[in-house]
Amino acid sequence: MGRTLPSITQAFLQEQQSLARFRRALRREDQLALDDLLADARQHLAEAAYASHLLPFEIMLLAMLVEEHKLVLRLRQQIEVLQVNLERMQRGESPSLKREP
Amino acid sequence: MSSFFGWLFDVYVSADSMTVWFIDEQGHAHALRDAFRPAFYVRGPRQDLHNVCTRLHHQRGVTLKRTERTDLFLGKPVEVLEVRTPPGSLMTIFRQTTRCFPDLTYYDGDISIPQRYVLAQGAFPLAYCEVEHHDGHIQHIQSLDSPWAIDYRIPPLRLMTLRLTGEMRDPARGHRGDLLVSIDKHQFCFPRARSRELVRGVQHLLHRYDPDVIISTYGDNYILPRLIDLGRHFGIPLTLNRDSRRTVQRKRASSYFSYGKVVFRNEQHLLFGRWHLDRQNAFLANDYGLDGILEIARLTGLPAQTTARVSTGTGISAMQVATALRRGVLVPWQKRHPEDLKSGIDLINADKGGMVYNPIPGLHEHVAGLDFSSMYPSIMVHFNISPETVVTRGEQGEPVPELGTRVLRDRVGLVPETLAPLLEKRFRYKALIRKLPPEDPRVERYRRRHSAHKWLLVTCFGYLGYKNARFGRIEAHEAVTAYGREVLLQAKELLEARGFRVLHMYVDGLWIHKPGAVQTPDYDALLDEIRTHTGLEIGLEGVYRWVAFLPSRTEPRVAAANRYFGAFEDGTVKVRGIEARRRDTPAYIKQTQLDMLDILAEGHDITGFRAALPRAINYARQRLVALRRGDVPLNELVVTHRLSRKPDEFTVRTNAARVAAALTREGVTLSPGEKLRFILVPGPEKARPWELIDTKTPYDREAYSELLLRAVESLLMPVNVDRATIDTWLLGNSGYWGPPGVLPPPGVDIRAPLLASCGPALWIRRRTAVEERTLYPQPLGAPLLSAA
Amino acid sequence: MLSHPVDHPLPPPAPLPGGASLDAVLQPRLSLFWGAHTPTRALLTLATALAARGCRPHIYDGGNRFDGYFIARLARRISARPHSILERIQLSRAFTCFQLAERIENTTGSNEPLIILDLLNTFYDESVPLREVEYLLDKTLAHLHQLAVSGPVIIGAREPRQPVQERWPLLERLQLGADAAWMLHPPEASEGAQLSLF
Repeated sequence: MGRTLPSITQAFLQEQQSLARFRRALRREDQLALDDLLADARQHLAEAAYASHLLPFEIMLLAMLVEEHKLVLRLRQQIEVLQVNLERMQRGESPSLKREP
Repeated sequence: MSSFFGWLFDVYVSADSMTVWFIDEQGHAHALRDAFRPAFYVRGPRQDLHNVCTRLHHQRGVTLKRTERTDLFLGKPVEVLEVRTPPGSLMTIFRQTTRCFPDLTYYDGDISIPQRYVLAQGAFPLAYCEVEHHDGHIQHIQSLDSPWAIDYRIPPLRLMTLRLTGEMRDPARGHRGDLLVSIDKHQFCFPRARSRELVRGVQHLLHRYDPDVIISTYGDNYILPRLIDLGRHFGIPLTLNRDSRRTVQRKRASSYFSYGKVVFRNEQHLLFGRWHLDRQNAFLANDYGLDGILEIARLTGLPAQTTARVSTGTGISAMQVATALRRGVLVPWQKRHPEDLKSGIDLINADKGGMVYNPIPGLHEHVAGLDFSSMYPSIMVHFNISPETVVTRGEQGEPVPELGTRVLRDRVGLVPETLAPLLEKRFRYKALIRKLPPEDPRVERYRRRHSAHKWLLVTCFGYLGYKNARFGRIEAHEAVTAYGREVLLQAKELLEARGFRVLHMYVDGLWIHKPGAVQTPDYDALLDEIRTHTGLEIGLEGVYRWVAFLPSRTEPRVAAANRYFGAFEDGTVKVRGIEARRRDTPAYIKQTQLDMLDILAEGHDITGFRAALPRAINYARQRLVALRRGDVPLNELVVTHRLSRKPDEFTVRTNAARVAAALTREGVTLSPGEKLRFILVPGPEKARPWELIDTKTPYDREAYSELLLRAVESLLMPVNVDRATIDTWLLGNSGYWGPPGVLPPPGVDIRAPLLASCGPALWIRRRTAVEERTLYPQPLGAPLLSAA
Repeated sequence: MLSHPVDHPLPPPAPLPGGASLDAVLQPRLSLFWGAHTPTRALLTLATALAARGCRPHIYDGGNRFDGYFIARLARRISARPHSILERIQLSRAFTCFQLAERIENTTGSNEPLIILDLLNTFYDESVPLREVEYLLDKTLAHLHQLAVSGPVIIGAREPRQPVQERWPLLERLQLGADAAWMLHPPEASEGAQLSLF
């Protein structure tokens, strides 16, 4: 963009870079989980830029939490559907996509 | 004394006066003289000004006067020395003075003299005027026209075109052809082998038809200099100028390093009493043609030959200068005003650009595209942002959102004053284009002028816009972006309160969705509310039947801010960031992608998109087959690339490096910033310059197939079709889910084998590059349940 | 200048990059740090350290390099109040050599440190003739000397890059004009190296 401060993307990449040693030492499956978190943080770079927080990393942590929470909500929804269907099947009824029995 | 009615056509300095050309109603050209004595101004300590006077007062034609004028940044009148000179000597005397007295402050020193003259007469290029004259001298010019007129007449211009035969290739790089001259529906061909006849023929045509405008292709860098050389060689006087006392003005090509970038300015040949416009050298002329060039000349006060060739920033800068001159405000010579001191915190708050979301990736349906019309210029006008109205200290003025600065409202800023009538005119053209029936001949004209305005406005704001623009000021730039973010967020809040969801935001536009809101009228109330609340004009670009936001190329899990494509309600397609929009893509690939999009656009929603896929794939297959057979004409396979450095500075042998080297071997000098055109060829050569190609040259079928397959992949990413599947469909003959193009239901992996009996809820999707988050939840890692 | 209240007790100053010592640089004099690349990180670190001690350094940025996030990260490590550190740093950016010259000319002497980032960047711009730029630099240097009488003036500059070789004399003028000059080697590898200041 040509502005003075590094762009929020650059700031993010710098934070990512500073985590390089931590990531390297992680087991492979843990690395993948960390990569997911970092990708989550990247969804909200524009909002982080607007916040003009002195330490963008703190906002990135929040963004990761937001995405994690959304995932939890989705999973909860999925589980509820499965529970309902389990009960229906036990009663001999056909499955449904709704959450109510 | 006599008078006539006509259009102001050309103005230039001739020694101690101005030569002014008019074209009358009958199409005759008149050349007249007029006296004009422009001035520059100097400010500084009395003693220094006294020394300046001592040095200048004996110079021929110079008059000195002590006076008061307003400095824009100081905001008040200051004492200055006025140095008035004959028009032909102003630049020289100005340069000498600045060299001898470099510490003083100068104003009005480097403004185009023709622009100043025309402004002083209350006229502008191509203004319709009544001219009173006597004995070849102008007595009075009365403009009967306005640059803000919606409809205006242009003079009856006689056009002559010059180009070489054959493909449009750069003759300076080796292409050879005969000279084709067209005028008044006649066409003449002059074989290059007979150069004497060629020059004589051109001269004869110039004399006989006396064209007003010469439109050439490669005239600036080849045809005109060659003609001039030939004329000299054979001793045939060539009257390219109407003014026989002048020689053709030649400006060399130059490449220089400025503000971290290489700037390349092409060679120019300018005429007197007549215009020379070069299609290849005309900035964006393809978009708006001669109509646009005339409109910009009228608005900016710059002569048409200049407006056809200017680079970004000059147009609006000229308009700002005109406003300043009209106001009697001094125009600063060098940009000196530094940024006011701010704390590190203030900088972190202020140094942001426009809001640019990462969109929600994938395919969406019934999405509305909203955008603020000319957002930044509108903000400048509406909130009165100008270099002299933004203040960093004190309590006066309106506070700017997020920042600590304020904007004075007690006076109209220079920049808003310049932009307001332009925005108004643009707005009216847009309304007329919408209202009139498409066959109306005015529509095309308005559209071109509207397009020309867009170019002007785009360059009025931008990083370079404040860096070296006379009237640029970084605090003003920051205020504009702050208002931009604020307005966008206000719009977001309003639409979310009405139940809409924001899929994407990009500086001045939003993509929104609400179940049930599928047609244009559903958005009227929202738009009105945003208009009222923000004070800015916002419009509905259209409602998309479907729109796809693509992943970023570097990080596929994140969607790119400006790579998307979609189909509107009316079936038209909008594309950003993919191959069809990129300048380096060969025409064949571009066309394939656009045609595929047209097919996909027939789908009215996501289901329709998926249903149209087989046809689109089929079409792609036909295009690929033709490509691999060698049937595609070479001119559709040209790759374009802009040189970023000198040919000898390449360290890696990229295609551009090879092509640059090949041209250099042929004796062509290439400068950074120039465009290269080439074809990918088989074998170790890999790429050959377009100018060295002949019809028998084979092209590299594999390389172009790869480009085409990538272009297809861009379109199919939103439905999780990867290259492996595309290759199977296009190069093989089938797919797991039936004929090529047939997709499995959403949520099912396209590479899993066909099993009709299982429902979608039990299938676990493998993680792929783009997730369709809207419809189905995403499992993480190992499956929650294994298949029954 | 170092008598303001401090946030943190600080270890004795270690050498700056290039072997300069903090004490040497913080005298009222004109110090130059130059190299193939301009030593922005080092100077920003210096500014942060000074602000942490309570100073109010002024930074004139001639190369559009003020990395506020870098300072914030550093400030966070050495102080519980990074916000006040950033507030103490006063900044002005210049995008043309005329702006930078004007900014410097309008500066009055003070005992607060003045740091200039990438001084020569705007002077390397080829759209301004060499002669004009040389004159402007001489004038600017003269004023910087005047300012150095009251407080430390610390300048960062880089060599001209390939396309603008004719501008080497500008760097030479700067080297001759400084009271002390240190040449720096290619950019620091990581932020860890900066902490040697503390």
